[in-house]
Amino acid sequence: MKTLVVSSKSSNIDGVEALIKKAFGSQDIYLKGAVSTEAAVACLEKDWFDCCFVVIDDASENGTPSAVLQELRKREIGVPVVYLVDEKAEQLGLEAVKDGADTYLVKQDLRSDLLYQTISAVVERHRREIAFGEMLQALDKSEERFNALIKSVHVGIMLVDWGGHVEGLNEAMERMTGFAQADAKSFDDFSVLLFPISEERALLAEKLNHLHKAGGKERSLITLRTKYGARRRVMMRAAPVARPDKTLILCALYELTGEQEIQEAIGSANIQTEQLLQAVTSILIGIDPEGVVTHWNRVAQKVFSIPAEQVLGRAFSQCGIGWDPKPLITAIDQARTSGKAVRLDDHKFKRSESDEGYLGFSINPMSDHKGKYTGVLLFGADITQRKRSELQLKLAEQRYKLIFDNSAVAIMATDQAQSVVSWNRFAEEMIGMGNEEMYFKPLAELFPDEEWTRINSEMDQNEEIRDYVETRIVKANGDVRDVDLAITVLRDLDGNVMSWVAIMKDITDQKHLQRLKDEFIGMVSHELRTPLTVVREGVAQLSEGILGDLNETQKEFVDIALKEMDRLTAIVNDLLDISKIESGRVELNKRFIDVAELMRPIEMRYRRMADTKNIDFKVEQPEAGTKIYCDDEKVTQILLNLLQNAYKFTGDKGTITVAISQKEEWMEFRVIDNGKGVAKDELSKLFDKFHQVGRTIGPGPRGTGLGLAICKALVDLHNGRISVDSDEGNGSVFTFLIPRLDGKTVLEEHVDQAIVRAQKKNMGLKMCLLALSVFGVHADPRVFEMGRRLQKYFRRNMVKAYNEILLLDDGNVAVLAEIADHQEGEAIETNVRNALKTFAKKEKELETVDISFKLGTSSFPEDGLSTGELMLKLEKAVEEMA
Amino acid sequence: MKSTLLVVDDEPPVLKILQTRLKASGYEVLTASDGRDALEKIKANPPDLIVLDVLMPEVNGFQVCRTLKDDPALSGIPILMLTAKDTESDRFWGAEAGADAYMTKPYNAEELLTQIQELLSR
Repeated sequence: MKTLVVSSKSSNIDGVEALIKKAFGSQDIYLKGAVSTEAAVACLEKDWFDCCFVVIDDASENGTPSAVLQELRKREIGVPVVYLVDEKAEQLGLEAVKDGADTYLVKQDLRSDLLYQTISAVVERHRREIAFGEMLQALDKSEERFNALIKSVHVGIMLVDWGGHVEGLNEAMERMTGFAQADAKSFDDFSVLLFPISEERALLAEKLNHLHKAGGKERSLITLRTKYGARRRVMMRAAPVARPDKTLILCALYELTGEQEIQEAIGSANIQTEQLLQAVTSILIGIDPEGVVTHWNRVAQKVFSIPAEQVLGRAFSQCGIGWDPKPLITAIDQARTSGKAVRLDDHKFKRSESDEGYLGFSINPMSDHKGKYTGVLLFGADITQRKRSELQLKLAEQRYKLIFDNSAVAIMATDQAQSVVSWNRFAEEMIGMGNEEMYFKPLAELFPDEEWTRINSEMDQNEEIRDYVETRIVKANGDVRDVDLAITVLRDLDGNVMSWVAIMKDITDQKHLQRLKDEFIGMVSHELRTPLTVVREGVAQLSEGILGDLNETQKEFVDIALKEMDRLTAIVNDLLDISKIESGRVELNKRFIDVAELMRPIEMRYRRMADTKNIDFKVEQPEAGTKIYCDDEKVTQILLNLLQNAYKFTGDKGTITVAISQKEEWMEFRVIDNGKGVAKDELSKLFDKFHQVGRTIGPGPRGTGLGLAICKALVDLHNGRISVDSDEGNGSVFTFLIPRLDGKTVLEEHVDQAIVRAQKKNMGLKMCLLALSVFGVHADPRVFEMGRRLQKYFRRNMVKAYNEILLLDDGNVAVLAEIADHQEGEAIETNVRNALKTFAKKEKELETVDISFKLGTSSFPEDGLSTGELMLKLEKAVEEMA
Repeated sequence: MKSTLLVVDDEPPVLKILQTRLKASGYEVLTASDGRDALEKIKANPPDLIVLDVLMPEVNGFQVCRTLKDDPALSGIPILMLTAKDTESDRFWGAEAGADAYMTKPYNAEELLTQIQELLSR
């Protein structure tokens, strides 16, 4: 800090210098005193000072107070000047400021901090504002002063030639950019270093070029890059300066003051705002407080087909749009008075002579930085299209609502949390609840707990039930109704379920009737059985001659009666069968059985029958050892039924074949005959109840009309399929398919169900796998037989303790038992081990073979909660048993 | 030596025809018309085989069967259940009670006789 203190009294100089030293503390201070105006001017002309401090005690001193100022102005020396005046002569300070002094201070108020602030502020201002002109002027004065000035100013200075070569830069510039003199010299074009962005460089070149042409002064904002890569926004002033050998450009770079930065920011913000306003895809109209249009963007031009020049500067109510301006004026007033945005929806306007459209507006009041209202900005959109689709939607909604309300089924829709949010009249009636009770009722609460669990298990992977399931609902009054239930879901675009829609049909009455019918048939057939037995047996005994000999006519009649009795018996049996199946009273007793074993009794029994007509009866079976998982009694019944049919319609010396083969995931059974076949138009009705194949009035073979219906029902129970193909006159092929399941799948299914049952009773589950062979490997027939004996042994000896004892297709035996706790599980394992040992010992005695078993166990819930986990544990746990 | 069969049924016509049929096939036939009667007759004079109806007043067929099978002295007598009940659970309970065979009405005389022969030859 270089300060020149001017005073006629050396005591003043000393005092001020001491104060300045105190104020600036440890800073580098250079002070010089001048006792006269002349001395002061001489100093300032020769050297460069940061500040000139003039002390005036009274008007007489130093002549007029502004003598120094006048001298400086005359010599074009720009240095900040601060006056120090006596409080009695404060007007001298004011005069000095008027004459161009930077400020004045009053002696009596003088404190070091005030002095520091004042000098710093003045110097700072001067550095930014004045130094440049100073430097240019200094050139004219003396080379010496110019150099001193450049060296000491805090403004970044560089001297470049017209080609951009940097001739020199000062210390301030070094500080500002991080580049040293040496760096500058080593580059041909220093501007590349300072302005690495080519656009900036081009801008600089243009400015320099302009400068060259204009020969004047230039100031502009420019971005430079420091040595360390930081960007700096600076103000650059530049002017040509004549040096002894050539003309150079003096570039002074100032860091931006706070105010400049703000102004720059505002400037760029304004540009951005304008760009933004043009870029918006809404209609944008600016209206000033007088109602004159100030903005009219491209969208407005397009929607209203009115170019901006026709509208800007005109009253908006007369801008030529075919609309009623009154609602808009009201809305604008509202926005102005409330200071808040106002919405104006469905504002009608004429798009053309015949076409009416709708606009939606938000009217935003604007104000300047002082809060003065400056008009409104209207953001709007042409919502005609939306309005029209809304209308369409509303119509569609109404249409569906009508259907929804008047459907003769109960419909309920839930929210994401499965609470009922809308429903129709029939739902209300069915459940017997009013609005209040129904709203937000969790869907689950409408069903008994176990039914809801079942419903959830029936849902497919889309969480839907496409085919109706039969279930029950609980009415508000506690009554239980039977319903058919279907569930569909509505999803959002991401696939999240937004709503469940439950559709229900009350089938209670229907079910009741069905039950009555079932009971009736069951009762009637049952009641028929005993008399039927007596009558048939009586007639049979007559016919057989047990009760004495009959003459020929008597015998003939008795035999006819017996035959009809047999038919009646068959009808009663079939009726009972079908009613049992239809009422769900038939449970399949499925097990793994060797196909050959299944076929053996059928073959024996049927061959006798076939022989009576000399029918060539053949059985084609899959490879030995092939297992099928089914209720073998039921499959036998199906096959015998089909075979009896074939027998009926096949003539003497015909051919009947049973062909069994594995077809992908099915076991296929085919009963093929070359009998008279079935007419095409009868094929579809063949499996209907009471439909008799090829039945015509008059003599001929007659059945009960229920055989095929029973076959179909039994196949359905197995989740199989049955079909018929026939070429009339050349025979028929009846095909039925039973799913092929392996032991593992079957065991998994059983475990699944066992877990559900155990959970309901709040119990655990113990699983033991007794392995005679490894999963999936086709077993030796002896192993399967051994497994069967083991199962039988377990069943006979342990039936009370174990819930399920399964024989798997590979001869392995699985035991599933519900347990109350861990101890019970352990006890069961010990039991099983002991039983196994006893069995093995017995087998050894019987068969004289050494048997080794493997035993694996797994428990729910300790070893896992899912069937998969439990199965894995089970298989892993299988270990050799001695 | 003729085998003695006891036929138990609460319906006289059934008893009658069974008796005739079995006698014609060469068996000695005794009859009882309810469970209690049957148990008394069996204890007094154990037959070689019992043909037992299920639905009878007071003591039903399952109960008779269980009582006999629980009695070591009588458990060896083969029991053939002959009934109009033929649901799976009836069969199960029949087996559970210890019945050696289970046949439904209306029966086929030939099958009945075969079954009896088989049980007697065990």
